[in-house]
Amino acid sequence: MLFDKFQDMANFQRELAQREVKPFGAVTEQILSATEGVVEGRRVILAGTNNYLGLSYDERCIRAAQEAAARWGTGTTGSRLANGSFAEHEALEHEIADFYGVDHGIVFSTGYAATMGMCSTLAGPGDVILLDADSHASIYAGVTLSGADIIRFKHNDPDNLAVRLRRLGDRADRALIIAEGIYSMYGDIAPLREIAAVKREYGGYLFLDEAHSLGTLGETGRGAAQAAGVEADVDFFAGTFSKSLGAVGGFCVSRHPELETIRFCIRAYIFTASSSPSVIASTREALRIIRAEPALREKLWENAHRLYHGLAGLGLPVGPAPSPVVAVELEDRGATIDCWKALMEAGVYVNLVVPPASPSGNYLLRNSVSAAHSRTQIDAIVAAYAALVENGLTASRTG
Amino acid sequence: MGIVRAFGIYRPQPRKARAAPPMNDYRETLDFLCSALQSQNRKDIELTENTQLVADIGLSSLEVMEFIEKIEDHFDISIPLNILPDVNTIGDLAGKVQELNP
Repeated sequence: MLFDKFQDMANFQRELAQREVKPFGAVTEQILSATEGVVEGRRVILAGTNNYLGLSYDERCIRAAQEAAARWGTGTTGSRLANGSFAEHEALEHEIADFYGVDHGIVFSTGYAATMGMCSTLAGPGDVILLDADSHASIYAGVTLSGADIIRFKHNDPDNLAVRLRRLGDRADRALIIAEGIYSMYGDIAPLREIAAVKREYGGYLFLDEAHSLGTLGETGRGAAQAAGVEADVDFFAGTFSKSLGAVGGFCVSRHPELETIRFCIRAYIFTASSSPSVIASTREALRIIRAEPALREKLWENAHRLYHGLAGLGLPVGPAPSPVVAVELEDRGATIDCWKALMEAGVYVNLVVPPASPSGNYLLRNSVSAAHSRTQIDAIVAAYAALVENGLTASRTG
Repeated sequence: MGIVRAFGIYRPQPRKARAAPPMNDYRETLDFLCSALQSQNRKDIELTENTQLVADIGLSSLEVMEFIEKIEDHFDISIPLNILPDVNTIGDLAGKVQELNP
């Protein structure tokens, strides 16, 4: 039967219902601030939202969106190539390119469309793509559509990338290398200095997804490449408006003028409606705030360190270094689900991550930190985890 | 420690010069694949060229990728993901390795 393949998922959903938890698609009934809401009937601290700078609820961004909606209407009702290119879209393209110090930029309707669209278009049949094994689902979707030869290199392993470029011989020169700044599940940062050095040695084009690092890393918030001092080696920067910028949408910017031609070949850009002007307007305002207020980034990192050291201090297996994403990795599925439920009951919403979304076969309690979290909120999150440890719920941890 | 592997902490390693690729006779390739699969052969079935990686041995997608990496390192080749939809049996994979490593 057509539906047979969904049986495992149906069973998993039934199991969750029996345990009386709704970790996937939990409904937010009310937003009280950037870091607090009512989810599934409970007032909770939001610690799984990717709202790194808290700008989703910034009154200046809200006002910009309201004014744009009043001026431009609620939607563009068309593609960027037809009637959907408003002055707002073009202004944001200039501003995001300018932010990265390059001349060319494309704005997409979602972050998924940006990475999927670029990865499916940049390389084609006869080309080679080398991607980090832990790349985001949108990147895998894109490369699969590209028709290029797809080769994975080991996660965050520049030596393995070098081996694979060497094996390509003459084809290395035109290979498309794909990496991310911060990986979304564990919050680990790519070794971009070394990846850039490998690229300089063997050739190729580097595509970098700064989805989780825009606004969180680098001297002016441009991301992991800026932090590593290798922006000149990056051919294409992609990212999203739905994390630090608090809205929805995505972008790709590049110093290569060819991006202006590529624009007309990206199906995920052509065959979808452009973003609502209100979304673009709030994104522009958020970008202005990121540029003007580096203190937000400092606050984010202060909170990230506080949460990381708090959880590490409980003996929980968190990543190798503090990051805006702090994930606790457990081996046992049932125990992880129980932990998620207990955290909700203690008033803390985090993300539950199960394979294949988690890169290993393990289960994650994924926390994302915001500059908008207060110290008291961070301490409350740590206290909720402390209760899990005391009750033996995290006993099955790895490491 | 599993977690260190999972986080993929980067440690620089000396770059190896290209070793002479191992002899690549179809049977030898097949023998290597079968012996490399033994550690994941939980049901302890006999492994032949007709054995199916997922349906018979029961490899998860993660285990398939780990197995592919083992083959890549051994033959010093990169196996594109694109060929995987055509691979069901150990023999299918041996054939692809042959094509990639003439």
